[in-house]
Amino acid sequence: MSESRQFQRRSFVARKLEGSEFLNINDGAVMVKALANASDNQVQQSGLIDLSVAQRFGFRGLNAAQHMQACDYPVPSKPNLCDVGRNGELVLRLGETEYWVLSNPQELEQTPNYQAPVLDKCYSLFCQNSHSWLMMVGPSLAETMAKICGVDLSSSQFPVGHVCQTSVARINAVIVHHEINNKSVFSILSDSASAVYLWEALLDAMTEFNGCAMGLSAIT
Amino acid sequence: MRLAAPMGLLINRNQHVTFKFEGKQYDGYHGDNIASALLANQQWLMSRSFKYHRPRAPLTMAGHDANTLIQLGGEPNVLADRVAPSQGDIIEGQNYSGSLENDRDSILGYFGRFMPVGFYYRAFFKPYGVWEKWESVIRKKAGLGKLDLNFEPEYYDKVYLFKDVVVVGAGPAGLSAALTAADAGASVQIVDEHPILGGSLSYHRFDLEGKIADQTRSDLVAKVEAHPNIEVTLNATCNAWFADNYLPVIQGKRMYKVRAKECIVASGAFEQHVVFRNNDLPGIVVCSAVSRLMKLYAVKPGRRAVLLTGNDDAYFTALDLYEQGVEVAAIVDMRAQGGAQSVTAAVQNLGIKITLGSTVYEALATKGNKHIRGVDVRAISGQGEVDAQSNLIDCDLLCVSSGFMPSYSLLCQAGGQLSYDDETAAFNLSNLPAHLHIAGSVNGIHSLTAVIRDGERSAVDALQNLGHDVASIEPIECDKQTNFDWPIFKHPKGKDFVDFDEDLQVKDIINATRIGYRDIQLVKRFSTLGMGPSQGRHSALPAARLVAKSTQRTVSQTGVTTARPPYAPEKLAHIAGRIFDPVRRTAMHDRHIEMGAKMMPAGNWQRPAFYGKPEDRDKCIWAESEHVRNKVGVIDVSTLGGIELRGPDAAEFMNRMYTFAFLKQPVGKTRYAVLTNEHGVVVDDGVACRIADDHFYVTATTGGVGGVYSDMLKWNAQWRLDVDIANVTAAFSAINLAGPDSRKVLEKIASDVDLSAEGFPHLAYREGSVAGIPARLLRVGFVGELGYEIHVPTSYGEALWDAVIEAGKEHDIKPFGVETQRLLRLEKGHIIVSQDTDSMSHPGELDLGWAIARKKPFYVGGRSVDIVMARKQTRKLVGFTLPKGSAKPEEGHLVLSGDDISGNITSCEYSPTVDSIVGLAFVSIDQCEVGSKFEVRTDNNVMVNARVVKLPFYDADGKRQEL
Amino acid sequence: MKIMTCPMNGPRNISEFVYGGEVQEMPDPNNCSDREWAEYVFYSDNAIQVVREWWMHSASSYWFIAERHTGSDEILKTYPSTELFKERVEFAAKATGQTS
Repeated sequence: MSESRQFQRRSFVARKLEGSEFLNINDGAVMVKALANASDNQVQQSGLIDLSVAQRFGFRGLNAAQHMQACDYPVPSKPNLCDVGRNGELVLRLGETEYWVLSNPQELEQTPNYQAPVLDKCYSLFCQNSHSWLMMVGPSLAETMAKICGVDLSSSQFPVGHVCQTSVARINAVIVHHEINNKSVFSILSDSASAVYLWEALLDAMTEFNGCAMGLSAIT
Repeated sequence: MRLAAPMGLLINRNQHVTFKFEGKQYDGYHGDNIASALLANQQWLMSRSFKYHRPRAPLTMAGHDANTLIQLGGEPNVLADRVAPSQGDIIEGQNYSGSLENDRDSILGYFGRFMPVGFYYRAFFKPYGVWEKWESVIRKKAGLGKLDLNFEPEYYDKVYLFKDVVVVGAGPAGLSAALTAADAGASVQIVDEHPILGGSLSYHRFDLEGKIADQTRSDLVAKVEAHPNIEVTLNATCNAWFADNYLPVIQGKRMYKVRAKECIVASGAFEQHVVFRNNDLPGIVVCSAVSRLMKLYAVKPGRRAVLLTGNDDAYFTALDLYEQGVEVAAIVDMRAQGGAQSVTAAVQNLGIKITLGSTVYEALATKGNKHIRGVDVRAISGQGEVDAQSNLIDCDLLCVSSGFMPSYSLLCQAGGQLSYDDETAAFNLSNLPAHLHIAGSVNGIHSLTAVIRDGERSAVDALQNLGHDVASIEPIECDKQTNFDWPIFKHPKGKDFVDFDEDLQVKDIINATRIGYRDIQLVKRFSTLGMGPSQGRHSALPAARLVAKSTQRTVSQTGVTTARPPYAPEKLAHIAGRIFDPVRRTAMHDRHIEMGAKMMPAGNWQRPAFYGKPEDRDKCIWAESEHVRNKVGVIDVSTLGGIELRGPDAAEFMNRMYTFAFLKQPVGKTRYAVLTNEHGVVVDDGVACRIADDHFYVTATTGGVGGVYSDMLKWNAQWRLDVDIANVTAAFSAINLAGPDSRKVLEKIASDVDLSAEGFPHLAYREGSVAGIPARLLRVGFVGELGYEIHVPTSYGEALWDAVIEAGKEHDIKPFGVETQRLLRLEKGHIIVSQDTDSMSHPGELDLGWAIARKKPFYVGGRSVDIVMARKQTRKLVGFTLPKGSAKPEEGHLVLSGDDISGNITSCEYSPTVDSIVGLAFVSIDQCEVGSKFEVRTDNNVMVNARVVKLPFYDADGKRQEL
Repeated sequence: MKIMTCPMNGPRNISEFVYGGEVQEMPDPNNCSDREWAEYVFYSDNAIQVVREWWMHSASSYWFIAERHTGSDEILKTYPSTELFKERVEFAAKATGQTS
C-alpha cells in the first residue's frame, strides 16, 4: 500500500485498507474514505474504522490520578468508566490506578496534550503500540458484538461512558461505549499483534448487518 | 387423499413438493415433514432396526423416536418427522442390504437367539486372529447412513443472547409462563422444537367437544406473538443445561449461547408405549402421533384402528379418529376400572367397543412384518400376565398410551433428581437448583387449567428471583392419573421390545441383571439400553420397572441413567462452526511473505521458519546460517516477550524473581536472566537490560512471557513492592542483525550511537535512533556472531525492517528464519527453555549454576534449587557430536545405558559450520564426562554412538560475538 | 458455564479467568526444614471446605481472591487481594555460611 509506506508509522491493519484517501496523522496514515463504498458513509450503516495510528497514551501508578489532573484531564470516578476531556479526548480508567487518553476521533489532527510524568509512582504506558484501536459504528453494535463476545453489551447493561474489559473473538480487549454526533459507537482496543485477525473477525460478524470497512468521513 | 380442513394446520394445500424416496416419487405439501408426506401416501416403512433389521415406521411423529432416521441426499441420520422435504430431494432409507423394502439382513431376526444381550463381548475374537475377518463385516453392518466425503463445509455460527427469562417449550405451560413473566416487564425468550407455538394445544384433544385446544391456543399464541418483551425462537432445540443457566439453543445453522437469569423448563412429557410381542410394527404409534398426523398434516392414519391405553387420552383420540372417518374397532383399556365416566359414555355412544382390564398381548403382522394387520387381545390376570383366551381384532392402526415420562433431560443435567411415586406410577422431579423452574406435564401436571396455572406459578417464582414484587402462587395439585403401573407383557417368543433403537427385548433386560449387572448404569452399558438416538425417551421407564423387579428394589432406588448433553443429536458444525483461532503476526509479517518465507506457527504467532520452498528446507537453512556466519543476516524476533519494570523497587523485584544477582547490575549493561518456579525447575529465560537505576527491560521466551507476566503480578500482589510491571511484548518490534558485517550495516542508519567495539561492547545496552526511529539496542550472544538486537515501537517495525534491508544491500544482507536461528544457537550450545529443558530440569542439570546468586535472601524457587542441587545428581544436559554420515537422532530419541533408558535427545542438527552432527541431550550422570560415549536409538531401531564434547561446538573463546 | 464475579469488572463467564492456586503462607525459606518446605511446595489439604484461592481476570490481568466451597463449587465471595496483603514483604538476608 503506497499510502502507508509514505510514513514511518504503519497501522497494524494497514494491508487491509483500500482507501481512496488517506490523512497524515502522527507520522502515519488514517483512511478517510474507503474505495469500496460508493454511497456516502453515515453513521446509519454498520462500519469498522481503523484508528490505530491515532495518538493515545496512558499513565499508571499511585500518583497517576494526580498527574492526570495536572494535565487538565478528567479522572473517571471508578475503574471501567470513560469521561470526555475538554477537547473531546476519551479518558478511560482501566484499573484503580490506570488511565488511558485517546484522541478525539473527530479531531485526530489535534493530538491530545501529553506530558511526561514528573511525579514518582506515575509511569507512562505503551498503548500506542501494544494495542490497536478499531471503532465500530452503526445501529447494530450490541448485536454484532453478541456474535463474538460473551458479555451483554446492550445499552441497558453497557451504557454510554462505560468500559468493558473482556474477551472478544477469544482475544483480550477493552471495549469503550462512547458517542459521536449523539450516536453510539464502540471503540475496541486490543493486542496489536492480533489486529488483522480481529479486523477480519469483526467484519465477518458485521456481514449480517451490512457492515464494511469505513474511513474517517463516516464520523466527521 | 388428505383430510378436510380444519385438519392440516401446518400444510399449504396450494403448494406442492415432490421428492423421491427409495427411488419412488412422492407428492407432499409445503408444511409437511418427510414422514407426514410419506404417510399421506401410505408409505409407512421408513427404516430397518439396528440389530434385527425389522421394518420400522414413525412412533411419535415428533422426532422423539429413531424409527424415522433416513438419508437425505448426502446427509445421513435425518429425522423424517422433523425435516421438511425440498423440491427434488433424493431420500433413501438406511441400514439395509438390497433395498429398504426387501432387506436381505432381515434374516438376522431369525438368529435372535444366537445374539443374546451383550453377545458381542464374547463372540468375534476367539480363536485368536478371527477378529480381523469379522471386523470388515461388522463395520459394514453396524453403521447407519453414509457419509458424503466430498461435502463442502457451510457457514455455521454462534450468537450470545442475554435474557431475564428463557422458557423451554411453547405448550400451554410455557406460553402462560412466558406471558406472566413478560407482562411484569421481564425480557423473555420462548424456545420450541416445532415450527409453531402451542405444543399439545396444536394437536391434543382436551374436551369432548374438541374445541378448547384451538381456543386456548389462538388466545395464548396471539398474545405471545404480539408481546414486545417476548422473543420467539421456533424450530430450535435447547440442547443442554450448563451452570448458571447457560443454554445452547440450536436453530438451523446457528447455535445461540443463551444466558438466562431464570429458566423455566416446560418441555412436556413423552407418551409411553406398551411392551408386548411385535410392539414395534409399522402402524403402531402413540396416541399423540395420531393426533399430530390428523390435526397438523391432515393425514388419515389408517382404515381401522384399535387403541390400547392406561389413561383417558386414548378415549379422546378415539373421538378424533371417529370424526375423521377412521373406523374405531375397540378401545383396549388396561385399567380394570376403565376411564372417566363422561368420556367413556361419549365413546360408547358412538358404538365403539371398550374392553377393560385387558391388553394387546401380540400384534399380528402382514407378510415380512411390514405392517400391523391385527391384535391378539387378552385379559390381564396379574402383573405382566394375561389369560390364555385370545380375542383377535383386525386393524391397520394401533394407538397406544400407557402413560407419560417427564422430559427430564435438562433438569437432570442441572442436578435435578428423579423419584418414582408408586401411587401414580410416574417419575417426578425435585431438587432443582435455584433459578431453574419446571411447569406443566414435565412437572406431573396434566389437566389443562392446572397446566396453565402451573406455568403462571413458575413465572411468578422466577419474577420474585428477579426482584419483582409479585405474590406467590401455591404449588398446583393435579390428581389426573395418567400412568398404568405395569404395561409390560413379556412373551415367551420374545420380540417384545423395551428399547426400539437397540432392539432390546424384555428378556435382554432381565438377563443383564441375572448375569450380575444389577445397577441401572451397568445394565445400560452392558446392554446398550438407552444409548441409541432416542436416548431412553421410551425405554427408561419400562427398564426401570423391570430392573427394579428383577433386583428386588423400588423403581425409585433403581432410577434412570445419568442425563448428559446433548439432549438431541448435535452436528459437529454447530460446535465447531465460526470457531475463533487467534493468530498473531509481527509488524514485518508482510515483508516475510514477500521475501518468500516458509511461515510456521510459534504458539499463536506466525514466524518465518526459513526463506524458500518447503522441499528445500535443509539447503535453505544451511545457506542462511553460512551467510550469517560469514556476512550479515537479519531475523525478526518481535515475538520475543518483553517486560518493563519501573520504580524504586525494580531491581529488588528482579532480584526476587530471577536466579541471578541484579541489585548491582550496571546501567547500560545486559545480564542473562533465568527464571525457576517454586519447584526449582527452570521455566523461562531472557536478557535483562538496566536502562536506569529504577528501570529494567527484561526479555522472555515467546511462549513463556504471558505466564511470566501473570506470575510477576501475582507475586507482587503479595510482596507489595514499589514497582510497575508492564507486558510490552506487542508494544515493541525487534530484529536481530547478526554477522561479521552487521556493524557496517548498522553504522549507515544509526547516526547517534557510538557503535565502536569500545563504545558499544558485547552485552551492553544502548538507546538511539535507527533510521530516525527511536530504538533500544542490545548486543547479545545468542547466535554467536557480532550482532545487535534492535527494539522499536511496533508501529515502526516494518519501516525498521525496510531501512535495514535497504542499508544492508551493499553488504549482501539476507533474511534468516527461526529454524536457522535454532541451528546457529545450537552450534554455540545455547539452550532453549522447553526445548532443552523439561518439567523437572533444575539449574544444576543445565550447567546454569553460574547464573545462581546463592547468597541472595530470596528468589522464587531458591530454596528448592538449593535442596535439589545438594542431592546426588542423576542426569545432565550435555553437548554431543556424531560423524556427518550417521543416522541423525531427532528430538525425543532415547539415550540408552545398557538396557535402560537414561535420557533423551533435546536438540540435534547437522552443522555445516563444524561439518558434523551436533546436539544436546539429557544423559545419566555417569555418561556425562567429556569424551565418553553413549548410545542413541534412532528411527527404525538404528543405534548410533554419540560422543560427549565440551560446549560450545563453535568459537569456544567467543571471539566472534565480541568483535 | 459458571459465572464468577470479578471485584473490578463484575460478573463474567468463568472462561475469562485463570486459576492461581490456593492462598498459602510461605514458611521462612531460609529457616524452615526441608520437609516443611516440601510440604509447602507440593502438598494441599484437599478437604471439603471453603478455600481461599487466587484467580486472575485475563483481559485486565487483575489478580484477586475468591472463597469457594470445594464440595458444591459455590463461590461465596470475591475481593481484592489488598484485603489480605496490606504490608510490604521483606526477606531477611541469609545467615553467612548457610548453604541450604
